Amino acid sequence: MSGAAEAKNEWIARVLNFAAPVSPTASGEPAWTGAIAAWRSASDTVDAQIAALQSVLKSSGDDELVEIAEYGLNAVTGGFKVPLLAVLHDIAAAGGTANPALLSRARDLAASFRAHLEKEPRVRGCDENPFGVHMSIRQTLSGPLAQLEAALRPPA
Amino acid sequence: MMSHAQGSGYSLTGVAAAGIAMFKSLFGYGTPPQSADDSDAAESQETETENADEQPGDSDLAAARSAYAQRAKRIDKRIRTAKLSDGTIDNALKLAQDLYHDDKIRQAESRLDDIEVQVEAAIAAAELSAERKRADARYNALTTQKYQNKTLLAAIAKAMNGADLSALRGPIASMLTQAEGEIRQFTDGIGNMTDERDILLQDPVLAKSVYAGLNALIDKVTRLAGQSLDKAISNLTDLEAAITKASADDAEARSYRDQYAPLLQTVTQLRQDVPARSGTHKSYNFRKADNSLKFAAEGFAKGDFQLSVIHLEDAQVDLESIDARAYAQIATRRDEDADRAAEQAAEQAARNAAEAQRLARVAAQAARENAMDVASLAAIGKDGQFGKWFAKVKELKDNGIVTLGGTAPYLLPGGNTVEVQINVTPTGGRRRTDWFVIHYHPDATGATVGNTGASQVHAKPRPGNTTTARVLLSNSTWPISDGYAPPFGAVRRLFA
Repeated sequence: MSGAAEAKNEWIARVLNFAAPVSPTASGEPAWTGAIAAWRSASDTVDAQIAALQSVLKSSGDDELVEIAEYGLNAVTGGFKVPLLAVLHDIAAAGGTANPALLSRARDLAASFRAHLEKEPRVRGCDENPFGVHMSIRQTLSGPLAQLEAALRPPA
Repeated sequence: MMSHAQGSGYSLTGVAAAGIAMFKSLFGYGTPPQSADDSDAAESQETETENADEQPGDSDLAAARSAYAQRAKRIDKRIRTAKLSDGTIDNALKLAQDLYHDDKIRQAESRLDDIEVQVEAAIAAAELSAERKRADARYNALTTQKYQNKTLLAAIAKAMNGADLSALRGPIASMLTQAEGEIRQFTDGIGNMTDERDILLQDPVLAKSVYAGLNALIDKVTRLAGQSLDKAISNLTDLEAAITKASADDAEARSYRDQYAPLLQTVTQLRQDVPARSGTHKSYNFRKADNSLKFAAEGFAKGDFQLSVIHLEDAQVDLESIDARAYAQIATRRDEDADRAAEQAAEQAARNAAEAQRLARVAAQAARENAMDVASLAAIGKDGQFGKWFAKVKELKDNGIVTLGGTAPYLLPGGNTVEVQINVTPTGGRRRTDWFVIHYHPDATGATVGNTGASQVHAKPRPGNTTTARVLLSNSTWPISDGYAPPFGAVRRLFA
């Protein structure tokens, strides 16, 4: 947790007599902080891989591959990635006081996204693409998604 | 890699071509290859199975078309509901629809994927706008409230400075400082929120959730700051009440302090005067009043003017009570003395009146007796005051008021007394108005101290016995010397 956040929480506790309902780690941070950071890093990695594949497809001269580059690759993540990024941003912004409903929504999205990666043939097709572009969508994202699911689980 | 791409198409080896065909088929383009390398036989078999699920054959075409139609309808409804319809989206929908009509279901579905992403982005943008408006309004409200509370704080400080609170200023100032700190921390909290808001607004990647995050932040700050304000305002309310009470208490204390000095002077004077007035009344107990005076001094030393005034009032009551009792006793004694004096005065007055009457009577009597007239003889009375009467006769005679005439001597029965009667007649009158007798005792030896009746000649108011008043006479006494009666020798010679 940053110094500013610590000062703010200290102010809340001292002035407002309000203890933030957080599940702190040993360092005092919410448990999901690290998981969100790992997820963002993995997402950035996959974005870069997709961008590389798009570049290859667009330059292939094959109309169908160009169409796939323009319209098809974005569907590989099945509409999970952007919603998950948005809700994780809200959670991060709320610090330790995130709404439980928000946590549940993020956890469901992560689980669905991970299931999608496991069964979606286009994911596997990209990861094993015949264009020599190194892709590891499932491998890169599955671990952080599982980590998120665990971190966002309410404390027992 | 790119080394595989050649010309307008993709000039590939057989293996690469099969992979590309497979790749395309995953996205709804072309058909998957019907054979696979031996080395990939098992995996190819699996892929074929999967592709068979995704590539609708004739038997599945109807179902795929139906699913597509339902999805397109749902997306279109979402576009209408969100009022997102515009040329771009409509054209995209039309393109997908064209693919659908050409039975390019997978391509049509891919188009729908893209459209759905755009629609969701547009909806998110609309929500973003709404969130932004809401966040801005609420943020402005919070900052306005911040200044309102600063104004309230200033008003409280002004009220406190305007009050003459002297000794109470310290505790009040502490309360004000506490409230001021809470409000300042609240405003600092809003300042922190402003910093975070600025950071969020600068985030170019996650713009979609910027205002949602900001609203969440405002929710949090509003909730926490609301608690802070409730506490601070509660403290300020208490503070205002304390200031009001302190002002009233201070005014009351000053009032008592102002009362103290004159009251102390009054009571001290009473303490000196009352014993003097009550003087001899040793039963009066001043201990209670003295204790009250002592407690009053202690209270004043501690600044408790109200308590000191109360004790002084107690002392005053005690002393005045003693004074009143002393006065009552003194008055009672004075009344008794006055009654007694009045009685004595009345008695004296009665005596004086009686004496006056007596003196008047005496005076009148004396006047009558002393008057130079015939009536004075009656006033004197010859039987009561024969000597005086006898002398008055001489005086009247000498002043020519009366004329006397004596009878010839004659012997009274018994043979021992010769009597001459002297008649008193007003001068010029013809009838006597009074008379007396002169008795001669020719055989008498003469009067002695022990026997006045043994006189040879005496005058008497009338003939009587030995107790009748008399005036001893001699030959030189005026009735004989003036010739109204004969000398004793002559009578003795005639009757001895």
